[in-house]
Amino acid sequence: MFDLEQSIKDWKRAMKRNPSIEASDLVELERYLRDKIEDLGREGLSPEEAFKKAEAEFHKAESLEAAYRQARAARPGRRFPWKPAKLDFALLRSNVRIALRRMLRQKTFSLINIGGLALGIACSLLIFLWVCDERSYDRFHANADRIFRVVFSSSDDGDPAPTNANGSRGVGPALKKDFPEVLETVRVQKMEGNPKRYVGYQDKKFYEPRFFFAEPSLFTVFDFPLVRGDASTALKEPGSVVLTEATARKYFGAEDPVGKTIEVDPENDGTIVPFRITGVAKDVPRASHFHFDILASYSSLREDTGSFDGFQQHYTYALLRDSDSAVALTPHLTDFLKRNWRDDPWYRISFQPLASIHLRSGLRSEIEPVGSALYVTVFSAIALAVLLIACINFMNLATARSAQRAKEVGVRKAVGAPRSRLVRQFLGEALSVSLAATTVAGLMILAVLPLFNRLSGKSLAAEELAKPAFLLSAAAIALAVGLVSGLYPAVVLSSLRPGQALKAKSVSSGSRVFLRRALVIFQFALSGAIICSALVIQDQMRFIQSGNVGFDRDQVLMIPLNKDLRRKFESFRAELLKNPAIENAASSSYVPTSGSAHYNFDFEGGAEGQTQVVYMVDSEFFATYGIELRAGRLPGRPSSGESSQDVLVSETTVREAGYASPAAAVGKGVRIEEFRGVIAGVVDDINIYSLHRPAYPIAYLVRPIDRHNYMSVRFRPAAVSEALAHLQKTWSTMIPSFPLDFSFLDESFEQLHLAEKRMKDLFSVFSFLAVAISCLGLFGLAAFTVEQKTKEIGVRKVLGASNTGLFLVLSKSMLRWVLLANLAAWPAAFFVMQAWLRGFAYRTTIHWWIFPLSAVLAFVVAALTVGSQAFKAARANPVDSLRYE
Amino acid sequence: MVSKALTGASTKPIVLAILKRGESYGYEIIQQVREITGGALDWSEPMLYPFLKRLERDGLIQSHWRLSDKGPLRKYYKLTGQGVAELENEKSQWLTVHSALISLWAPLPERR
Repeated sequence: MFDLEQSIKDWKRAMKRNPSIEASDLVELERYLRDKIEDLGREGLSPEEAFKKAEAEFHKAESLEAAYRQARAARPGRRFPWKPAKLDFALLRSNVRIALRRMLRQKTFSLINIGGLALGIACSLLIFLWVCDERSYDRFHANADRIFRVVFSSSDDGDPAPTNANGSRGVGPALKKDFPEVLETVRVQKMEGNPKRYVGYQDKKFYEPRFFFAEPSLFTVFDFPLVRGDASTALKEPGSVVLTEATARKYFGAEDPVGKTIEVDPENDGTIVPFRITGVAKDVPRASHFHFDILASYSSLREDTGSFDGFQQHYTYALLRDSDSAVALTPHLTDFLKRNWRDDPWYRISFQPLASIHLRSGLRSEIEPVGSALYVTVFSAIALAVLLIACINFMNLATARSAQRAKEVGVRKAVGAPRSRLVRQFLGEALSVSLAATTVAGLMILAVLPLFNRLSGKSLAAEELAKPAFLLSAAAIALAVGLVSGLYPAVVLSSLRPGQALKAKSVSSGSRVFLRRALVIFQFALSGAIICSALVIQDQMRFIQSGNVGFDRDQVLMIPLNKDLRRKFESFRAELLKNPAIENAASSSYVPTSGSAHYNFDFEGGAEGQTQVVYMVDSEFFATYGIELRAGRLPGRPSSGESSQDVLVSETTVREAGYASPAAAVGKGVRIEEFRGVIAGVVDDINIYSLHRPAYPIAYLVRPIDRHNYMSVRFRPAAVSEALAHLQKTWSTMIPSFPLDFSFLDESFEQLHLAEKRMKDLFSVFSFLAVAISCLGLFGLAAFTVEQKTKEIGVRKVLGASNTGLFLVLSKSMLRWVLLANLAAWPAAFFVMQAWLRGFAYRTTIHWWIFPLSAVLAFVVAALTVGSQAFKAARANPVDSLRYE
Repeated sequence: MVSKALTGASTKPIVLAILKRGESYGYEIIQQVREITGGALDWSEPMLYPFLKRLERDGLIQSHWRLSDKGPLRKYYKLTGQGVAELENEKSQWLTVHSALISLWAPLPERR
């Protein structure tokens, strides 16, 4: 019995042996065969005869194979390389329809894919917004690239590198006089000692922390526009003052403040001076290194403003002719100082560009805490890492599931789709997923923005997302992610041979599985490194919060002194101490974190010209702060009004002075300018600034209260509210004319480490996200593996495997790789954290157990992820799994 | 019977010309050739297919698969702009040869 179909099948098999005849060619040739047979059948031949005759044509063809080979080898014709392939819209439309249908059918995978990518993209975009904001500080001034700050260096060894953002008063006008390239200078004075100054209008009395004296040139050099008043005259006359809009509202509500008078205590000594309001300025934008609420005219200052002597809380800015003038002028600055001051090896000045203040300053006594270029780099690196992890997820999931697409690829190739078209199709799919993920990411960002603002201390508005710069970078990221994640799977999928593909065997070829494993390892290594770093950062922050700073910072609050409080100090203190919640109270010129005054010391029998921090204190200071004595004795109470000769110094002072030991220093004389004193005792070092810096050498002089600026109150730790209540009651009774303004010392310390605290928080969040995304990827892979092994699981169950046994079988390999990944991460994390910790004078050690801990954490999370899938499979009825086809 | 050389050389202009009339598929082209030449050209029919592939690679024709409800999956070919130009080129070449031969084969005027 002649079987036509069988004969054709045999014929096809024989044809397939020709390597030069592709699948699509064979389809065409078969069609010819059938057409011919049909034709011959119409002429009257039997199927067998027709088949034989048609087949004979192929024997006549001399070498079909060679002809095909030649045809393929022939150089592609004169189609110019830059003429794009015609876009086939029908094909595009059908591809889109197929892709959508597939996505809807596999909702979990689609969710994981898009979700993971969206998360990664959202993280990177958020960090991008943060970085842009950090780098945009001070750029809103029209002259920004020609504005420079004059910074000073005072080092004991003549090192010319700038050390201080603040400096002397006389430098500004002298620069303008001597150099024609200096078009204009601006001098800004912050308040000495306690930055907060009492300001009052009628019944509104506040302590203003952002009160500055500034020259009128502030408005010509910088862009701080006035909404009321004339910028050229507002700060000319002594006794004039400009408020910001917010401040004006605070004191005057909706009234026009111009022309009205406010009362100020500028020297913080009780002398109330009236200031007339001559203008209202727009609120200073957030992205500025310098924010003011009240500007008083520089001419109101009573000090000598022409002196080059010493550094005050004083800042000088210069507007130069062009941006390279700074470089041109720098070599002349030493002569300039010689001309106007003296040749002093420890006094140098230089120009700092305005734009580099926020991120690259690193100087002492900045007006406000600045950011750090290091953090910008670190966060950019994290953004990249998270994005990479998300891309790797996508790649892994796509290649792992390639078996499911193999049939589709096979069919497409059979109808002659060239490989390039397939690559384009898969890339197109990846790009669309990437685009969808970016849109979802945008929504995620909008939802999370308030939380992010709180964590990072910024106030990014939703409008930022509409800005062209952001949209462009979002599009660029979508494109990059799509290309990067899509290219590898596209190449893999398009290379599937139709024969294999149509048989749908699982894609467990050696090299591909290896790459997939390598990617998972890399992913988890990155996550592991981030977790380790987050743990170390947490540890350091805890260390800083609770570390020993030489005094008890948790039980102290500070109150700025005013005229009345100074007068009634003793009785006020006595009244406070009546309540057991309050343990002690003292007064001093400075308190830790509030700033410091520096003087030159000459030590008897020791070093000369040593710069020391000087605190003027009363006799209760040491007890209130819990500062321990090391040698000698604490100062006694001097008879009121007298200055004692007693000087107490810190341990660092002893070292710098060159004494052999604290005991050796006791009894030695010191000279500070005209004052001569005697070292009565040595106390523990205390940290008055952030733990980035080592302890400063401090000398304590007992002086009357009129030289002091702060009152410090020590309260019992469990009785904070009681203490506060008592304090408020006593204040309102005894000091009614001044508002009570206090702050907690430990919060003040926290402020110094705000940047680190923010980094810690952001790091924790992002490490959580990095791990989450990696787990999403692992989840997808696990789900896929389980699906592949459903039959195997069924068989094992029937043969009596336990649930735990099954779990082990399924997860063993995956978890092994996760562990390996962590081991790889440890050295990297260690080095990076070492470098970061070096920026602190006081640092925690990197505990060895952090590394195993992060490994365990990652392992547990991974095990849960994989396990959930394995558990689901293990619970399935073996009957169903064995029927699975 | 036409020689192999001539059969080979004429394949290109014949195929291009047939496709100029409208798009077509392999077996249909073979049928048309058989009709027009009355079987004088002995084509080894399957060889048409690699030939079509070569033409496509040279950019003279374009193919697409078509699946109609009337018939099975077939690969259709049509002429491109370049193909039209190439056809004209072939045509002028053949006509040049043809007119040369015609003038040579014209009967010599009788010698009186």
